[in-house]
Amino acid sequence: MQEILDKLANGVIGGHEDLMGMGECLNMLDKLEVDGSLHDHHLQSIGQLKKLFNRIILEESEDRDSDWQEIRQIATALNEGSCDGWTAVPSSGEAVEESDEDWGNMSEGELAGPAAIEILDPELVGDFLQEGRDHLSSIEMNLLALESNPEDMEAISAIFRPFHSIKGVSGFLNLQDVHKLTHHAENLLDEARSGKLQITEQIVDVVLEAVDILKKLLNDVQKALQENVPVQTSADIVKAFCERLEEVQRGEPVSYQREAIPGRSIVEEATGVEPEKADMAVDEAKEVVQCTRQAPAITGDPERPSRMRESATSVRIDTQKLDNLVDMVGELVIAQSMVLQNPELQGIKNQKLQKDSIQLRRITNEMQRIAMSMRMVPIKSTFQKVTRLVRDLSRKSGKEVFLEMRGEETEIDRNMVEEIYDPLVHMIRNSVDHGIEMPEEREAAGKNRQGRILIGAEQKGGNIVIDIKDDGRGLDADTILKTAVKRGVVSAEEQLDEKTIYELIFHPGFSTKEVITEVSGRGVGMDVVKKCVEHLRGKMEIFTAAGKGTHFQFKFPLTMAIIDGMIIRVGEERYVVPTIALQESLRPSEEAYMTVQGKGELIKVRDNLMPLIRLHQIFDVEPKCRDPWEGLLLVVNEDSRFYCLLADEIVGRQEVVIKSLGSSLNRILGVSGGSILGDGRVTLILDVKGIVTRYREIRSGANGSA
Amino acid sequence: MAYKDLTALVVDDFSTMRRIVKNILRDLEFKTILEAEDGSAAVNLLKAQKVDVIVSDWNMPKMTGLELLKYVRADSELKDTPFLMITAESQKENVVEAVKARVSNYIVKPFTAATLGEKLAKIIPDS
Repeated sequence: MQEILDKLANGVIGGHEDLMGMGECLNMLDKLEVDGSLHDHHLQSIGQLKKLFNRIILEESEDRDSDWQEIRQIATALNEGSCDGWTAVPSSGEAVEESDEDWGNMSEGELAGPAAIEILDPELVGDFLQEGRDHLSSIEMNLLALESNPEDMEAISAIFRPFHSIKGVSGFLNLQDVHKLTHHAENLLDEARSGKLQITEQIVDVVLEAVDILKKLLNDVQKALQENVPVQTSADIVKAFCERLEEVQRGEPVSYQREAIPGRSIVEEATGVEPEKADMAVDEAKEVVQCTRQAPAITGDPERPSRMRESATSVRIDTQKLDNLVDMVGELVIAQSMVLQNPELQGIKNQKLQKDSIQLRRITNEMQRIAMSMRMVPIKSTFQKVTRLVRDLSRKSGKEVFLEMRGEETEIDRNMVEEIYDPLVHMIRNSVDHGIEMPEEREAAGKNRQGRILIGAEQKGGNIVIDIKDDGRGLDADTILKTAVKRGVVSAEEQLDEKTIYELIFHPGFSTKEVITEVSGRGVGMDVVKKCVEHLRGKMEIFTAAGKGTHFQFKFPLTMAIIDGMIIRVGEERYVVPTIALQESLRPSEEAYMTVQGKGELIKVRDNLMPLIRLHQIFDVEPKCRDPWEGLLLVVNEDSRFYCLLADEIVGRQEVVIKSLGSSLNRILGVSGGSILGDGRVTLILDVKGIVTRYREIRSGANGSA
Repeated sequence: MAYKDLTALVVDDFSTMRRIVKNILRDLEFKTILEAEDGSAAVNLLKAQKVDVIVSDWNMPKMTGLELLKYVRADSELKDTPFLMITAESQKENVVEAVKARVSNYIVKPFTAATLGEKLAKIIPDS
């Protein structure tokens, strides 16, 4: 050993340009490390040396000369002090040694740690939590890849590495539970990596479980961080689990104890809303957005998700700031149009002014586009969470499901990410539970035993289209209709077309399955999906073929800050109707208009009778035309029924920036917000759902008094 | 230029990348530039011909750059051949492994002609 140390002390003389020399040194350090005769503090300084070497090799060192100096000091000290009790390395302002000391002790795992751990550096811990979660989701992804291909050494390494990083940092931050757990998981994976341990389903299970517990531990830390209290340790849970890990490692059969572990599986997490989770969601939303710069780093290499590295050129920004920026840019665009459309300015016939104003408009438009794009993140992470869900679901239900993803790189508004997740979970859950049949049933029907679910995302024009397709049994219109009638969702007499019938499954409390399974059917149903779609001003379509499968298609506007709107005029007032709500606009013939006893005014559009809603009545303004055949009808679809809105005329179509009306005016039926048009006039954005509700109120009031 | 008598071997499974490197080496006036599409092809070539410098990618099928490096360093004839490893930004952790296997130097994708030139100057002994 002394010999190696001598060599080492000599070896470091080569200087920091000598890569090969450093390679030799690293090899020697590796040898030293496996040499059992060294004390802990020696191992520490060896670790420190390796770290410094790596830093220089990777050109991450800020000051090579001083790092090099330190290497030489440590190497010399190591050499001189190797025989007796060598004392601390002359520290060059790094706190590492000190905390490493604690870490060294506790990694023994024998000492009973304190019940609560003080957080010393909140900022660092905050960063760690963020990064740790990223790591965990990449671990999950790779585990699933590994499960389908247990020989995939890349995947094993890709799982091993993040555990290793979490271990390292948690030790440094004195997060003992996390450290201990990752240490054990890493051991297990290391055996797998070196081929000593065969990857089995059991191992994947147990590592997934480790991920779940780690998530819980990180949540605990986060909570403690927010409340500024010491972290409560979960030493007993971790200890029990580590023992199991060791058993698995020794190849002993272990009972499947997943449910006993407090780390909730993702299935539960998705439905049970705990205050803790809600807090976190808020926090995550508040936290930070990665600029689009990060996108290539994520999508660049789909085969190796673990290798995502944040590019050094990205900056983390508070979402609030970003939202403010987007808001302000919106204001800028409006202010610009107000100036440029000022009649006095327009009267000026100056070529330079015109040229400059075009330039100004171009710049502001570009700025708006950039500001918007900063809020966009790839949908990939949302999709990835679903992978885990499908795995857990298919396990529980005994069905075989293959999940395919497309267009993960599609970008959506950061604010929509959270919103989309819950409905997506419901849809997938529904597909597995109701759509995909049991393997035997599938075989009997001449299909592949394994069911397929495809989730895809795509940007089409100003919309994000999300597809969820399965090749299961498809929807059965008769059964749906019967159930709907039974539950009182629709009356038996109603003539409904197939599409409308399919959409009934999104009615609150609707469930065609008699048996409530663990997988779906907790009372909360697909109406969550519908609510979300409405909230995001989206649209949904269902295509299905009996025995062949179901295809749900969702369309969401790209961003929640701007909508594509039809500007309509009623009397002197202008309103914006979201284009996505409109089916068509038409001017009916006089014969198409009729009044039916008990049903009020109706318009006949291609054999369909639709109630007429007079906007001037709803908003109490004086219209230019009162007869539908003189004005214009906007056909809208609300709750699977069609209505005609009567307006005077369509003024134009325009993208408008949505403005909140402020907290005092925030619940006005029929109005979802305000907007400022190019000419500076303030308009209201209509909410079709609210208008229909208001119309029904008026109708029932009229009927009641009659 | 100092490289006028020298032979270089470019190893990469991606032909575009080989071409890029080859063009740079040609500008640096190497006498001969050989190509191999992975480590094992390089090994076969090295058995037949001596080269003065190897520029190899890390990530290749069949035989990776690291395996090639280890082979070169273990061979008594070849062991002193300057070896430049090309690695991707996202695979920087590999670098340490390569250094341990005594790579002469490494270069991170994407790189410029100038950087490649500098790195080569560092590892090719003046003659």
